[in-house]
Amino acid sequence: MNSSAAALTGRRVLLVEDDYFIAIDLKVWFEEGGAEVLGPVPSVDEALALIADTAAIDAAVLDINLQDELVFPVADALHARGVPFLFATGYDAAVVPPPHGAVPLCQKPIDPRVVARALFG
Amino acid sequence: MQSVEPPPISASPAPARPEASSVPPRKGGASTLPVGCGELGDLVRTYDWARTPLGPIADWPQSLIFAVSTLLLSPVPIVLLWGADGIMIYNDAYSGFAGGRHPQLLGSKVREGWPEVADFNDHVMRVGLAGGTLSYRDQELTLHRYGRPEQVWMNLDYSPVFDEGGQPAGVIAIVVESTERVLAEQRLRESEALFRTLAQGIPQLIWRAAIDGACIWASPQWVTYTGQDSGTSLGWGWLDAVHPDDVAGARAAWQEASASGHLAYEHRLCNAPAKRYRWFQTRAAAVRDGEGRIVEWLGTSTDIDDLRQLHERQQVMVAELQHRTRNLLGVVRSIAKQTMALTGPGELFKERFNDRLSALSRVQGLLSRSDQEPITLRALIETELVALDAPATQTRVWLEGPAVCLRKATVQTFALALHELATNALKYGAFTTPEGRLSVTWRICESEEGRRLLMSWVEEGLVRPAETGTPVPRGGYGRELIERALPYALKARTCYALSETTLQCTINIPLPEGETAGSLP
Repeated sequence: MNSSAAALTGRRVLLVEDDYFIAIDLKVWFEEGGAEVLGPVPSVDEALALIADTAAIDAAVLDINLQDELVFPVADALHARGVPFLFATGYDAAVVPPPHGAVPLCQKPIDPRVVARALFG
Repeated sequence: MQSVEPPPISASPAPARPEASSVPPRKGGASTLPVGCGELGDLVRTYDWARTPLGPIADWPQSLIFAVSTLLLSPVPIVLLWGADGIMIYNDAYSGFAGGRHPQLLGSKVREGWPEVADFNDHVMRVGLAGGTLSYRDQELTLHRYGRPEQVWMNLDYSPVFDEGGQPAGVIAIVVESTERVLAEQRLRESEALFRTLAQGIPQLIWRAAIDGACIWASPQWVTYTGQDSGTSLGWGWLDAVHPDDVAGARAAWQEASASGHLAYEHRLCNAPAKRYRWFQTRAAAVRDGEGRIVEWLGTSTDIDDLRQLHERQQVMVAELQHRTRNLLGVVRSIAKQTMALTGPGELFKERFNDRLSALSRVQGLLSRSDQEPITLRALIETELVALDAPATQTRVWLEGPAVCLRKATVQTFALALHELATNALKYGAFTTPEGRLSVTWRICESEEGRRLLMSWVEEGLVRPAETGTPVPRGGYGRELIERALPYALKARTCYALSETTLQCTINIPLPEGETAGSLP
């Protein structure tokens, strides 16, 4: 593990991604880096439920398009709790609505190192 | 010419005349004609009047001298028609009107001088010598002033000239040609008609505005589209039809326009009949005076709503395509990783990975056509079975179920699962033995959880592993797809049960409204 991945140790990271294999990839990678993965969950409802049930969340990775629904309600909930997060998506930055315009955007396919660096420096 | 005389705009009968004077008519030059008076002054003075019924000038009565003097001194085109024959005496201004007929016209009888309008002039002479007057405005006559017929318009005023005895002795005619003005007005009317036809016939809304944008005139299309009557749109009334959010933009565009001389902006305009706003592109050209100052604007507003919608749809499609493409790369990467984990590097990896890429490629093909051709479960199954290229699969496969259209978001994962099932059937299952049979059946059921799709994939007549001696490496990637990926991504409930001679796999997924299409086969 490199230094950016080392920053993951002990972090509780929420993963919202509708594709099973991409979600599993990310989960494995974060867990290998020492993070504790919350989820992954494939939908807005499940993500909101998980956020409501979880006291401590250090960061989140959000896919924007979740089977035809958009992830922004989840982003709003995280923003309200002050949880840092980033968007992992195939979309251009243009689709991100203004309240989340400053949120980092990682183009798919995601490089987990880039994700870790964006979240934890 | 005309057999029926045109009615003059004014005519008056002979005025009541005083009793015939007892003073006998004086003859002979108590007065003479004035000197000068241009070309006609010379011609009249030197003309051999003795050859005419008038006789030499020296014998002319005072009334004739007076009338001729008056017309020679006038800058207005005047002709005197003297006596019963209407002998013509005119001035320089009239000679310009007479064109090629001058100078022969001088001293000739009006009937002979203007044979093409003899009837008209007969009438004039009759009325005038009876003491009446005639007046015509823009009277159209065909004259042959230059040896060919030409349409001419004139203002004509005729009044009698009385002799010393108080009897009408001639007619004085003021002849002002108005052809140029009449034709100009005609051209203007034609051009206005053309403009009206254009302005009312084209699909754009046309308007005229003052320099600041206050509407002066709006075309009928504007009235029809906005429902504003022609008075309401005037001034700044037109802004009432503009979407409230676009009013500030419209005002700003007008403010800029007076400085830049260009007006171009887009805005929404309320369509009264449809009760909705549509997008318009407004452009205007500045109409300038001789010194280049803008005096008004002539503008059009073009409906670009369909174009904008198309453009927006296109942007959505491009964004969707980007999303799908980049997501696909993520899926490809994870398939490679999962496949590698099971096969290790080598030939088997290449084979499996290529198979799965092909399945992905097929489903992209279906997805790209899905707007025109919704993807049905049957199409998805058949696509995978056909791709196997297995001999004699036709007779050993049974597909049955209602028409079900799948949501685009679910298609890819579902297709990959079907691909794994079909590949396994070819390599290890129903298609490896002569007795093997595959049946895929599905139905829709309503339950407390809502509408769900139940699909059952059953392979029978499998060869016992003990008999073939080869292990059955079922499971792995395909099994993970069915038992984990489908529940995760599609909220499916799945079951994968393999016995020695039978494989039974059931997939039960939510089927929201809109995923069924009863009309499809």
